[in-house]
Amino acid sequence: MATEKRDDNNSLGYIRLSFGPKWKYVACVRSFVQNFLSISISDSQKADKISMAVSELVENAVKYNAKEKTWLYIQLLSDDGEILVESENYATPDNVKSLQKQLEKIYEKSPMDAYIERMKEAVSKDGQSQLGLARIRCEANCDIKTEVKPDGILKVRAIFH
Amino acid sequence: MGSLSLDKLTDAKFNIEVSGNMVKFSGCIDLQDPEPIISPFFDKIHKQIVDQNIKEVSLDFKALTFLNSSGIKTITKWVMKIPNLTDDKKYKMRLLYSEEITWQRTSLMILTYLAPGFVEAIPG
Repeated sequence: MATEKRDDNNSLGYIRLSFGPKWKYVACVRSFVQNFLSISISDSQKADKISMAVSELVENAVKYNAKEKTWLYIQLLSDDGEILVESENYATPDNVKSLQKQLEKIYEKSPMDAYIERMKEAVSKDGQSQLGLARIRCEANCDIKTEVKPDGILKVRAIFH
Repeated sequence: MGSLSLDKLTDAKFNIEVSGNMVKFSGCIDLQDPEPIISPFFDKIHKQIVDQNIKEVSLDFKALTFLNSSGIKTITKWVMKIPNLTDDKKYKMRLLYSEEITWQRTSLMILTYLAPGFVEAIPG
């Protein structure tokens, strides 16, 4: 069983990016990640799904960033395409709470049911869609967890099986 | 039967063209907040469909390389108008997608669950 902890030294391959949280960079990051995954895993559909998920995570990290700098880390965990993705950003306590609440709600149901429910709720509200996490869980088949570091950095971790 | 008539919606990274009963997407929709740009356009299309008693519309996504979740919300808003119409005004929506583009297969299929019987996803 591959370790789920970040471990560069024993890694089958990884990338680590940090960038100023500007929306215009999200597409560049997506493109770079797509290329990295296409040469790292043989399943092209899986690579596409993970790229989509990473794009959604990076969008969230940029949207809800409280300060300069966003980080992205992607590590290959095993030869059969298990991947760890972590996005990090400074976040206000309110945004952390909101995201953790969203995640709790998503995990109350199956991935598809949670996504459909989230879609219906999003339509009735103006503003941010807040569909990203539900989409990632449903379409990219992954587990998502959050962690708040002592310096106020929010880490969102997704393991793709 | 009526036919849709609207000027194309053009943004820096995508186009949405309306022709006959076809709405064709091209480019990439990954705006931070696409709603103010796209939703009013979809509202106009929906209104024309209802006013002209059009019974079917096709949305061709094959040339759309990416759609973020904020973009999905705009399509969700449109799809969910259909079940709320009176029976005589309801119409079918066909989502045409490419099997070569992974997000299209997964994301568009989910939309069919929002208006069962009225929305279908068709590979091509």
